[in-house]
Amino acid sequence: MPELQLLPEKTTRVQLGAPRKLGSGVLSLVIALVLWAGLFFYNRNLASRVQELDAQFIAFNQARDLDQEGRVNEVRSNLQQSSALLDEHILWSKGFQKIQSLTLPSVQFQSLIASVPELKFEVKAAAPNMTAIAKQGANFLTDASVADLSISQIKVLTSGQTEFVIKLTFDRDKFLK
Amino acid sequence: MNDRFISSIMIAASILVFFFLALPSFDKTRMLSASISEREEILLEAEAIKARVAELDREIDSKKAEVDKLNILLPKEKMIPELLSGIESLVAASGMSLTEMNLSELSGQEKIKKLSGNLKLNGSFVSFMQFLDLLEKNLRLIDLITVDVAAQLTEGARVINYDLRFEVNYLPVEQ
Repeated sequence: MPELQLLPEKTTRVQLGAPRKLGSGVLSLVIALVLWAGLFFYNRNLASRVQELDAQFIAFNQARDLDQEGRVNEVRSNLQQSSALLDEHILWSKGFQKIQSLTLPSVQFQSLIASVPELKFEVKAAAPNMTAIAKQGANFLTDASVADLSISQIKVLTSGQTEFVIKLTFDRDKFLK
Repeated sequence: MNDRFISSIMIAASILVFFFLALPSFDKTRMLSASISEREEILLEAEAIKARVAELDREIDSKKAEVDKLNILLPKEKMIPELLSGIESLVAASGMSLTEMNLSELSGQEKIKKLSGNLKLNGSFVSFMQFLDLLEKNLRLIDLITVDVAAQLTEGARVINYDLRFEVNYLPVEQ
């Protein structure tokens, strides 16, 4: 009587799912696809955020009060230009007061020409004598704002007075400010 | 053998997906992120500027008197009639007499436009100093460029003549 064989001679393992040899391939493909899909959807969100920001920017531009901006800009520009002009503004009264205080009582002015572009103060005057003219010149030079001085056209008049022209070159910042 | 071949194809496909789909997507992500932060920064800056402009506008409103003075100091237009009457009143207030006045426009490409004028006056030196003082206090800036003073005897009396060249400025509104 033959023996009954209940168990097979060889056992074979039953494998569930993908075969093990395919496992690494499937895994790497799934990772790559998941990564790409994740980035794809994330980018869609980012693109819609960009569009939203663009829309906000357009709305912002449309809501701008251009009149208000123009008014502020105009005042700002006016303020800047006015400050520059005030800095450059010349106070002639100070220059004349200085000349007056430096003039000897015996010296009498006949004419005067002052010019800002040439930085000069040219005075035609009469003095009792040469000594007075020399003193007058020295007096003007004591002031730090007088950069240079020249005396010319010295004439002795029939009246006994001596006529002369004195030209002062001044330092604009010190003299007229 | 067959499984290994399929697995190799899958790995190759995943490499292709990574390099041709995922990597460009990642570049796009970086680009989009950068443009979002740039736009957010611009918007924030624009909002801050808008708030600052509104604040400055309120300040201008609250300091209207000073702003009006600024507009007289450097007007938008020539304002010649106001200038002439202003000079006339300065001359009268200082006790001098005006004998001649002329005004012309100086050409130039500068932002600030200039008007140039000549003024012939006579009077005492004290009056002239008073005139200079008033001129310097005048709200509209008048710059004296040259001063020519000469004394002359007229009918036995000593008269001092003043010939002044001056410039005034105005700032036309940019179109």
